[in-house]
Amino acid sequence: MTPPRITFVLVSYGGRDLVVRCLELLAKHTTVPYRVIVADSASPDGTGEWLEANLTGATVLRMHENLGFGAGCNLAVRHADTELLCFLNADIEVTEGWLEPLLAFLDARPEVAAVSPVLVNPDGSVQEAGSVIGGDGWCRAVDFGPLFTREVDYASAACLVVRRAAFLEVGGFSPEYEIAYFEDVDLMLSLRAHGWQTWLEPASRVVHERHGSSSSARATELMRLNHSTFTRRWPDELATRSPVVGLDEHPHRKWWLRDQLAPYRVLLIDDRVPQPDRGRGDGRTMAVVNAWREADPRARVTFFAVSPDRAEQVAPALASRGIEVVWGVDDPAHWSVERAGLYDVIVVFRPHNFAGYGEPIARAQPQAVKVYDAEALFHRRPEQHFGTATDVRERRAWAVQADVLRQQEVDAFTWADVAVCVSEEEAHWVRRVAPGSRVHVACYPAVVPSTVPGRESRRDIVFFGGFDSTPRTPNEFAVLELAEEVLPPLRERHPDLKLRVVGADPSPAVLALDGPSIEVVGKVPDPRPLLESALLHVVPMRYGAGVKIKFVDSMAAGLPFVTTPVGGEGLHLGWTARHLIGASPAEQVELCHKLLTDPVLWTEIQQGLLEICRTHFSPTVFRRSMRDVLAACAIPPGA
Amino acid sequence: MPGRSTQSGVGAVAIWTSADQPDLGDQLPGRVIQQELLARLPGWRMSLFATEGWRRPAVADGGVVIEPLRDRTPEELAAAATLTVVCTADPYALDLAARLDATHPVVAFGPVPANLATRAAFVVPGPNPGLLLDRVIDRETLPVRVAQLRQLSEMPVRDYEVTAELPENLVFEDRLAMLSAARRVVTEDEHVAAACAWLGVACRRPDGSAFEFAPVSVLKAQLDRIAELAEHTLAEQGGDLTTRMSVLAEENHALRQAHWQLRQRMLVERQRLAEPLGQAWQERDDANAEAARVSAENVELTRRNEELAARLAHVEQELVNWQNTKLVRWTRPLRDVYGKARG
Repeated sequence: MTPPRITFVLVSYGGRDLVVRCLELLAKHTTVPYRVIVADSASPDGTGEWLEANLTGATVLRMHENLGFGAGCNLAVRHADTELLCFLNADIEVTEGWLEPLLAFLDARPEVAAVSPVLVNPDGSVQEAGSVIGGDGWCRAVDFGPLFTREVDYASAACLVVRRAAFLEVGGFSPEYEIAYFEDVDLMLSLRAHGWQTWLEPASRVVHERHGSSSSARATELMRLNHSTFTRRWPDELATRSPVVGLDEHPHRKWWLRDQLAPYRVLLIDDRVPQPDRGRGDGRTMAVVNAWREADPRARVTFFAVSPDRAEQVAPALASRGIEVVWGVDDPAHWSVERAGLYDVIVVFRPHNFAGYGEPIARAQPQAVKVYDAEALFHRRPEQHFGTATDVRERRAWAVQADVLRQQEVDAFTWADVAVCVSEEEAHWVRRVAPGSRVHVACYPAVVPSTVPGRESRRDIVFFGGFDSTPRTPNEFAVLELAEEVLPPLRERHPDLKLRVVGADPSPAVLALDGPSIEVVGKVPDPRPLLESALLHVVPMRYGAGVKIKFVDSMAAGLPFVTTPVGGEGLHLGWTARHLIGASPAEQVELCHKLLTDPVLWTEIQQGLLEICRTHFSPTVFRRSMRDVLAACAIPPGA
Repeated sequence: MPGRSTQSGVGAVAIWTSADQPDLGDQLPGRVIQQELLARLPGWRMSLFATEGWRRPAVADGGVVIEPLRDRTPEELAAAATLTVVCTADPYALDLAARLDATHPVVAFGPVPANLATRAAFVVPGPNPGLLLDRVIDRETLPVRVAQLRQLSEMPVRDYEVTAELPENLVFEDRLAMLSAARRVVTEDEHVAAACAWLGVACRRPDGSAFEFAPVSVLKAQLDRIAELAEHTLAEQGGDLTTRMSVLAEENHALRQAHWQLRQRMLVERQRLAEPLGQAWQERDDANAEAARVSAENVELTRRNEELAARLAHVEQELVNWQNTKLVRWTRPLRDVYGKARG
């Protein structure tokens, strides 16, 4: 039988019924084997005797005098033989599935000594999601801001899972304290002084009733005494912090204290919480956010979503990876003032977010390095429409829109200390219009599997791209042109050829295409199986800017594609371009026909595209590019 | 049950111990070797093994994760590590070590059976690793532990000698704390004696003879040699030392870039701070000048006020003097009558 990994440590001083209730709930909601050690701190009401006589399956240790919580825990730990300990107050009520996330977290993070659940009140509201320690030595529970996995200054030992080795390494709870208060704060600082970390895992929640076993006058006296001991023991640690007293009058200090331990704090601003399965550039935004997250797990990464679009559904996945997600902010300037002076870096995506959010937010963050990350040059799309529109009024409208967007983008690049583009072509334009900005190129990471299906197992053609449920998007124009001008002549030569249209939120015009030769598949959880089963990817796009991620995904799936010069921008196609890029529908039909009928050429193109993908769009290349972006923001390579 | 150590590292060293047993001699060598090698091979994975490992948990193991050797084949164990260090006298482990693939480097500590001695890359004869506890335990935590143990009545409050074996079920750190506070230790255990030497506590055998240890530098040199062997083996196995060099060079470059940008940033921030400061200083100087001018005016006004007050006092005095002349006093009745007559 596998021995238990964890010992629950309780210290009692009276409160027999609470201890029994706590252990009952523990038995009910804990699915892994465990041990229990109760140290009774000489309860005057006979709790110790009763527990010793009646508690089965637990070790009861009785102290001869009330030495308090820290000493009781130290005694109990000396009798523990498991890898992990969990300090538990008797007024904690554990809930279903509470322990597994905490154990999984410690297994994944060997540098973490202790992890805490969120303590909630009986009404379900957050009581304590970790705490902050002020420069005055007082602590305050974090019951503000979004919940997400993060390193904390201090987590209460009311419910705390700790590695026994780490606890012993730092000497356990200090014996310098009176019977209660501050000994756990001291433990956190000792762990940190020895290179360990303490984290909060919001996937775990327990209810904390807060039944103290001392009178309030006695509690105040103990708190005062132990506070004095604490400030005497940690003067250097406290010297650089803001005080907790008066925190409500200076709200920005709350965030300073909460993020005190982060090696850097970055704020990323985009339209919505990224939903990579919906296209619209969200896949790349997610990749950039991931790069900031992975550069240092202790860094504070805050994602500011301008729109609340599906935030409730998507944000939890980011929060579990330690990303703070903020949405629903009406007054960005005021929001930033509340966090004044907090951020080291502000990254803004898309020109409208620069004007409406980035600039007002940055005003209260004068210390921050400003980054404008251009997933595409937005003014190019109306310029392309201007080039193809025939109606004079329509052309004028496109010209005005292009002018406005161009000016916004010039302003954004000029405002930024660091600019990021997805291709060298766009970076070249930026260097010209904003010579003061440091321009970097970071495109998109695509994983190329060791093997991809060959031509034999593939059939038909596919169109891949999101439609946003709106008419006149670049992808809608492209699929309509494919269905009306490319597919019919192609089907004359290949009568059995079918088209599958894959992409989220198809518009009414796209849905209307569904028929015998065209299947509108819509959104799929993972497009790769469809890309790996198609023979050709055809996207005759006239409008668009930047690198089209759909083609990078296509390359990674070993799927040759046919597109326009606009579609092929920034893809490093080299010699393959003459087989893949056609300016007119007639040219595209010819290119498609050749690839559908020439297996040797198809295979050569597939291998060529895979090589291009490995060379220019691999995760390693993207990681390097982002590392350079971070270095330009004065962020060193992470641990 | 903890998972097997699979975290990526530059390379991996497996340290076979008897740390699933409670004695100081079981707990101490593996921990010292682990920390010393980690200091020489940063980024490497150092895993502790013992015959039963975590299947035989003990208070003494202090919660350190020890992987079990039993049920794992020599092939699996050799594949999981670049190099294996054996510091146990456990027969099962010694036999298993002798059966590891001949190409897998093994370094053994202390006296080992002949079959393992001939198969090992080299054998470290000593001195005892307990002389090198600096990286295993923080000396500053020992007085805290002593205070705790005394608070819990688990240790004498007064001066004491350790003359018998310490209790078996004692955490490694507590064992060292108890030794550290002793006036004198009498033991036959070489590990205890080595720990006492590191702690600076007098230690003798029961017959009164002292323990003799080779200089610590000998042990350090042997640990250097193990680290070199590990790196050499990794390179020979097609390990990524070269790649690692290039990765480090890249990281170093990025670090320099970030450092440079940080310096630039500090300069910018300094300038941004200095701008309003400069303005504030100018405003302060202007205010000081204004205050000085007002102050000078005030002095002048005070002076004029005093002058006028003096003149007034003089005139008032003149008036009083005049009013006190005989002419004015004696003529007052006449002037009063004259005034009434004029009506």
